[in-house]
Amino acid sequence: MNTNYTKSEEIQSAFDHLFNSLSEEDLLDVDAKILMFRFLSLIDAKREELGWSRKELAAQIKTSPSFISQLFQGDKLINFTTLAKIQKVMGLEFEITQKRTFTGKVLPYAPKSEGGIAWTYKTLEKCEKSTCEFIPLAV
Amino acid sequence: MAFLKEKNLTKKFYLICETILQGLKNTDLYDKEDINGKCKQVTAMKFKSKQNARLYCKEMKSNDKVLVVIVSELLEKKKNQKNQQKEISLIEKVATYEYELY
Repeated sequence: MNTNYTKSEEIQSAFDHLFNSLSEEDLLDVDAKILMFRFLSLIDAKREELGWSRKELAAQIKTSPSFISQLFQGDKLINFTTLAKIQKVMGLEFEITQKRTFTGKVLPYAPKSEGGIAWTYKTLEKCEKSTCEFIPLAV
Repeated sequence: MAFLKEKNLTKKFYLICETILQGLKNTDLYDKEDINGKCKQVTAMKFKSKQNARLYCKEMKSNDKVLVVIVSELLEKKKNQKNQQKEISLIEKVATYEYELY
């Protein structure tokens, strides 16, 4: 089968329509879960390294395996006490860093003349190089 | 998309998309379905808690090496933990799909 789909704008619009139906609260909840997944992906990697099953992890922190599954499925949010317990039993230590983003203001380029008058640019008039001694770049 | 709306799975779908886009590994939500050699590019978005639905996808790379996930087939309800013939057929069907990326 060869699907030659060119309706990318239609797809984009359908996705926009679908996701625009989510409330601000929904979006915050998703953000919170993504944050949780950042921790969980590290926890899961460590769990594999230790050779533990999820059931074993649950037992170590005295919770049920289904609670662990609910966390990974994004149906529940982890709390910091549980996170601290996991850190302790796994010998993990989370390090928090902030993503570096540019927060400065980009000022519009506005060169000024020494006399305090703004430079203005004007189109070059047609002239022949040989006869034109001075090209007025700016006034 | 109508299915996602109807079954109230839009938020979960958004969560899965964000998880993929942020490069986070979460096999409870999105995982390979490479059940055999023919299905190496097939993956599944998993909606376990409510409907236990699956969205079977095909992973491809565009010319500029961008990973593209194409949602190809819907399984409204996965009834068994192990893949049955119905799921195997669907996964193999997705594996045969060819897409041209622009």
